[in-house]
Amino acid sequence: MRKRYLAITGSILALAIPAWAAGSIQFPVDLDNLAARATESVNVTLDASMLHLASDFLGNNDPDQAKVKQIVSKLNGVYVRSFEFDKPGQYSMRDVAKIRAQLRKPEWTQIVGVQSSKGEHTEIYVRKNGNQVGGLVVLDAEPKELTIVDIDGAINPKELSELGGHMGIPKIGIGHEGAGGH
Amino acid sequence: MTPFEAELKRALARREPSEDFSARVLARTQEKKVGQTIAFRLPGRLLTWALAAALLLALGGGVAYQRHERAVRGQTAKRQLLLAMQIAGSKLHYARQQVMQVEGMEIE
Repeated sequence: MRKRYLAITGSILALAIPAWAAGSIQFPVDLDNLAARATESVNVTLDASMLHLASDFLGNNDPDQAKVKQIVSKLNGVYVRSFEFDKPGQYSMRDVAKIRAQLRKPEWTQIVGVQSSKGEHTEIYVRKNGNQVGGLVVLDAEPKELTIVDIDGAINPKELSELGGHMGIPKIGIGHEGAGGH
Repeated sequence: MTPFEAELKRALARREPSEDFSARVLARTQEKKVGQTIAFRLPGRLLTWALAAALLLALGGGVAYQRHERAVRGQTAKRQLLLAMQIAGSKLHYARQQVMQVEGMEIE
């Protein structure tokens, strides 16, 4: 009976893991449980086929959308998990540590690591693909906010940072300047 | 033999059919068959056309639904993509600002 139970649990885990292993990194499973505790949450999972589909609907006449289209043409996936809480201590630093551990592999390089006195940690990692950037992860852990952005594919961080606050996107309460929140 | 018996005998006497009898019977039988065939073919044709029309409608409806579904999925993906890019962009922008602040402090 116990063996059967273990086998069933193993099968469920085996089915669940590939769903989380879609991007460059694996998001800890506990992360999605945070949505229930968060006052605001964003969950974006776009694989290559969905990016291609989204790209078809981006207008060429709008310069911002055209720019996004150009960036997206080189990508294999975009994954975002972002949570905002009404009080501190709602997420586990173990989840953050699990993500950091994956980014300690040799192919990843930390290009930015900022730690403020307010307990804000902002880290940017890039995956090298020869001389080019083959992936980018932004990890932003703040007392009342946790954001993980995983961009899989050839991306220029400068190109991406230029987009912030320049598109006609509805402002959300996540982020700093340009995002309208924080 | 009574007159009635004589009448009966005459009525029941064997008589040869006319020479064209078989031909006439065959012709009538053929006529009936043709009529019957027409009577059964007409609904069959109608049924075929109706089926073809229904199939075309179903196919057209299927294609239209697929297009609609693709458009809905595409618009959702586009919104998600723009949101993801905005979050990523703003986080990078913030990180850059933080780095510049730190660098500025070090220079001072």
